[in-house]
Amino acid sequence: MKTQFDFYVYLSNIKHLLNLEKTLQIIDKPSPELFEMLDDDLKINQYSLSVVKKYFDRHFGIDYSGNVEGLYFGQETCENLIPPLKNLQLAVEYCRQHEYHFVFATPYVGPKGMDRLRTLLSYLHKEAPGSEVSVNDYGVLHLLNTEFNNLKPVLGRLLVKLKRDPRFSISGYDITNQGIKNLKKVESNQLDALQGSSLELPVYQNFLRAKGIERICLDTLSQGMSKKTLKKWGFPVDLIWPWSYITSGRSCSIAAHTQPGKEFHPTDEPCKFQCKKYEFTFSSDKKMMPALFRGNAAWMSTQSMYEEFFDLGFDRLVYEPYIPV
Amino acid sequence: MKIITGISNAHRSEEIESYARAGVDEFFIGYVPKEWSDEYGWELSCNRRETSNYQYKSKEELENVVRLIHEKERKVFLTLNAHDYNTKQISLLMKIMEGIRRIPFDGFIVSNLAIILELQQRGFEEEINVSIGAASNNVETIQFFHSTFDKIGRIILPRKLTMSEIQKISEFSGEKGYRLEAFGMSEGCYFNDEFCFTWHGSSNRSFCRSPMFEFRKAKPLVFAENWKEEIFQEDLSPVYRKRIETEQWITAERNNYKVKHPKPPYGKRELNYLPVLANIHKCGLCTFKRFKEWGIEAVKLPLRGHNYKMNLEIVKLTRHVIDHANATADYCRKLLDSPNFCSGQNCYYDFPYSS
Repeated sequence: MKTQFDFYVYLSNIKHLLNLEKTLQIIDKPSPELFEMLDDDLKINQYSLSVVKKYFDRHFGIDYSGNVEGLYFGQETCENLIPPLKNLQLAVEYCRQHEYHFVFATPYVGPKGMDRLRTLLSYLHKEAPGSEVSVNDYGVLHLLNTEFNNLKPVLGRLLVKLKRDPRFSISGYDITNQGIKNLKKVESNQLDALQGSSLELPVYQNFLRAKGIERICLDTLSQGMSKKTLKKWGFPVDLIWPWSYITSGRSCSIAAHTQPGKEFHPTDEPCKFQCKKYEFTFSSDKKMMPALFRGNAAWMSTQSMYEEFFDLGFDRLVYEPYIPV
Repeated sequence: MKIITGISNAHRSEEIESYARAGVDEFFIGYVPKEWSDEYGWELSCNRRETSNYQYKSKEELENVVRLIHEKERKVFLTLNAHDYNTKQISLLMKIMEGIRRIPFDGFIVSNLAIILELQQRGFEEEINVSIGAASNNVETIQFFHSTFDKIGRIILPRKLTMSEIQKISEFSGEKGYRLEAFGMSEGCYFNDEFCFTWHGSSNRSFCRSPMFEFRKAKPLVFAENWKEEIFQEDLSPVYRKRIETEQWITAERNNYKVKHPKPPYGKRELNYLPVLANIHKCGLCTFKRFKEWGIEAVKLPLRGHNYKMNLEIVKLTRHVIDHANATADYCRKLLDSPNFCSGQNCYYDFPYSS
């Protein structure tokens, strides 16, 4: 049975990619004591895989793991975590062998990061023409348009700038009532605006098409999204789930944690890759989406919103087994 | 090098005149009339300030302030720099813009590409300064804007660029004749503004200032890629060991850093002037000499919403340093007179420590 969307998997770790079967494996549930030891990222790996399994069984009657159409590889928030050329080559080769479509995910970058990306894009341009590149930086889009025009740009989720905040998910949020008479109307208009985007505008859609954009990435948004709005965008949409991006900083606060008194770690100082050793966890008295700080970015898990989003009519489900950093 | 600063309708005419006398060359303002706030409140502002007290709210106020600024032979820019707008919001914003079309702004500050397209399609002739929301973190992005749109004025550089990155971008821009603006003092963001999609506004504290972020906890990552096998091993002591070792490593790193970077002494001014400066986030004073050498056209002081007297001090200090023939980092540190203040945590660009 044909699925209503193509199933893609998004990975930033080459080991996860080269062991895709294991990455997509649902394991026997460990004992509660062991389960508690797991990071939230790993727990959500199992929960989200179960959701995908059930959804594919119920709606399409097929096994999800045998129906992967393509892979996203890379990451979108930190130029220090841009994969080395060797890993990109391995990922492209793996996709070739398994006949998976390949999408290279790129971050926003400063000048040094752009130099690194230029090397990788040059490789793709020569060795994997036609590959898609998810762009999160207008400079990278410019580079594709001017130097690597046989690669296909996809508008990355960081360039689709709808608000996303774990805090306005379940408990709701407060509205300043200063000088405002009809708060209910404002509340309703705000929700409408929070689910909308300038992508609805034909003039902007035409502009993006002229820049070679044929596809758009969208995070699973805690404020929800309507079918009608998504249709107005006029592009095939890649829905990324379950880890939605919230915010990030080139001055890394994870790295700064080992430098007390200094709030930021600037991008061009040597990086000890502290993000591979620890994450930040949050607690709040508000009911909200589970959120984590991993790499130089904050993420929220929208695992529970799958029912609302999976039937929206997007083109690809881009499943993140792990936070892509 | 010019100074551009933000003002709101909380400023009296004489205060704006004082800013101009103290060295401000250009002003930027936000305009949220009732027809917008009645529909979208303050949280979903038509510019990047999501509170009511940072704005002008009537056409009359707007006309008066633009007239005043022009009388003082200064320039004034209107901010239209929210990250995103839906169709209804853009229609409303364009209606508002048609209503104030005859007010002679010197330009608009915009980050959203659709807004630039709409303004140009509707024949607005004002130049567009590209807001930090557009994320010009590299020369290719600057080329993107100049090769795509007409009437691009200045590109405003994001806050999180480092000095070496700004130098590289400035050298390129200088060769091409592109104009740049960089942040100078105040309102340092915790994250990259251009990629921060969190909820702001006075009713809901920003994510970076919320208790949940303030009281974040560092948690060791103990499982490797093969965790699906690791977890079923009989002996899990390596996992526990890794957790303890990582916690110890974090503590040791933090302690070593403290030993290597002891807190310098507080200066006298720490008791009055500097805490306020630190409170409104970040100081870039000692970078201005370099900015000037690199041809950056203007420094931005995003002082909207802060205390007037304090703002005036910051403007005077900024103008003094810009106009000084050789305002080295040492010179600026002497001006501030507090080794503690200048020990890194208050720096906009982590300079001169990064060099």
